[in-house]
Amino acid sequence: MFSYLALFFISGISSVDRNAALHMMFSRPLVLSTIVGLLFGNVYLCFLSGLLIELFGNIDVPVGTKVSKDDTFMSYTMAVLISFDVVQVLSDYLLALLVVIIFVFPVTYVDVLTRKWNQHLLMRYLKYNLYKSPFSIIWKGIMIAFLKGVVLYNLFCLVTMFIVVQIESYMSIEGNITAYIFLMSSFLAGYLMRFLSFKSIHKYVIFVMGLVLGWLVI
Amino acid sequence: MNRKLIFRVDDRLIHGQVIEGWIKYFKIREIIIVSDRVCKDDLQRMIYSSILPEDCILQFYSIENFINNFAEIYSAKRSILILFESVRDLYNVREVLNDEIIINVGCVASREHKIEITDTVFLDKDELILLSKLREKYDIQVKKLPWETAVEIKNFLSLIGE
Amino acid sequence: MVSYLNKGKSFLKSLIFTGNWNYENMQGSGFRLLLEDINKANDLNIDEKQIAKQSEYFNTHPFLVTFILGVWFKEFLKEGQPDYFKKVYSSALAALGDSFFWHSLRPISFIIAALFGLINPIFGVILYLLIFNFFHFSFLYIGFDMGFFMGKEVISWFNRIKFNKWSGYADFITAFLLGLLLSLGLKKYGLETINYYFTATCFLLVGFVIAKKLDVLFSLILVVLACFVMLVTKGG
Repeated sequence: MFSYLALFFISGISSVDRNAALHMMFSRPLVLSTIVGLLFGNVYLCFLSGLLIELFGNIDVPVGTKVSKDDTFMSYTMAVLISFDVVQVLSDYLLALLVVIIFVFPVTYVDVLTRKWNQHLLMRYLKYNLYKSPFSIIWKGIMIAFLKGVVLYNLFCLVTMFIVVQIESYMSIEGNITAYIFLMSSFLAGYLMRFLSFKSIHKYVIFVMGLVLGWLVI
Repeated sequence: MNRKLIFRVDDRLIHGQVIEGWIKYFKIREIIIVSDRVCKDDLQRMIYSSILPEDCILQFYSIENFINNFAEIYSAKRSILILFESVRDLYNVREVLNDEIIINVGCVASREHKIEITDTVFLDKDELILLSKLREKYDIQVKKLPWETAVEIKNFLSLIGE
Repeated sequence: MVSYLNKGKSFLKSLIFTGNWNYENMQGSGFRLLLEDINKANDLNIDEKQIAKQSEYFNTHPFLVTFILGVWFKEFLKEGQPDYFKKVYSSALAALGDSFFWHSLRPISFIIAALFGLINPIFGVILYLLIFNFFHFSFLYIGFDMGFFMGKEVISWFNRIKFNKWSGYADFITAFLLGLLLSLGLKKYGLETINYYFTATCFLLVGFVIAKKLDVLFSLILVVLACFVMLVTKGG
């Protein structure tokens, strides 16, 4: 029971950390996935899954008013699916990832809606309570973000779970999940390299040096 | 030729979106701020010069100076990001515009009586009239970041019901 | 200068001041909240209209907001131009903050955490939180003092520590560590076949090539589909 309550709390607080307050990086995929993995077991696979999703998330920077795709939701759902053994074989993992990527669009859109809701709260505040402290609208914004995490993340997580369970009864192909995670990570590493800002030639030379050193270390 | 010549209206001039979006994305090394106000303010010039990535060059022009020197700027054949504080400033340099130039309205903060165009662009009636005049000759992209799809507005006056 | 800030309380509030983030005034409500607190704690008796005005549009990097607060109070107390410098510094510090914290610190913290996490995931996660929040908390904590001490010249402090170069240095290290992480990961968790390494190299190169042409999320969908096809045609 404690684990389930903790899971709800984690979904809420990670949404707050991402959207409204704290910004202490609990919401980052690597951190969040590992914490969920710690709660229910299978830490390593959750960690590696978080690694893949965070590679994606690092490229989508939240500058200005840009709402970046909700990688917190992606990692939360993937970690829960892994922890609850919904993801058992490689085909389940890929299928779950695909469904989660599709659901990230409505979940991210709700981020936009919560900002509009905050705007609504602000307009009321400016009209009726301009000379009072804005603490209440700030607190409400944080609570909305928390509820969004608890309700939305878990709702879409359940729907993803349902879809994956339905399809896996028709298709189940075994394979090495971690090998595929690093295959996809290689692709995203290409993106991340282009994203990093340093003189191109130096950047690529140092990257190759890292690759070679890593290869020789083991 | 792959060079980019971008005229961007942004009332915050240089901030996160400009650096992370436009400068790093297009690898632009030369930025120009066209503003009579900033030109007169030494401290503000120092502040903006201090916040750019180290290999970027920042220049300041008053509107008149910019128009007078544009031929030289244009002939440089490098990618340049040119920032204006307001739609009016952009309109005041209309004589130098041509089809090669990307015109972008990226960030104009919300104020009273302004019409919301996007979540970062709020314009008043006068600004919409000026933009509609520019739109007769040139494309105007309303977007905050280069990889986004621009909001396509053919008739800015329709936003104020004219 | 420290007496102007009830530091612990203001620090905690600076962690939540973005709660009402919206498209109208962005972080304006939060800035007003922080300002009100300092006003009350120090009995400055700032006119309530002046305080209410602070609900207007304000947006900066959330980890550097306390610098702007410091500048505001310094300018206010010496009857300078608090609102003018608030506007100028909100843009300037947004640029500096986004470049360092979002663009560079996040990836480097992640890559270091991922590398150590390959040995022990829990250690990796702790390291992530420690590295990122060391910078996050340090800047938030010293920001008011620095902003108040240096006033409108606070940019010279950022120049002194060469803050605009940190992002480049961090990205340089990240590039090296990313190479290290990739080869360690592929060797430790991948398949020891030529085909596998060849495919991983192809994936990496395709990533390089299309990075600025296709949105990363759509690319990820294509990659997952490609993996599906590989799985179905070749087996695990």
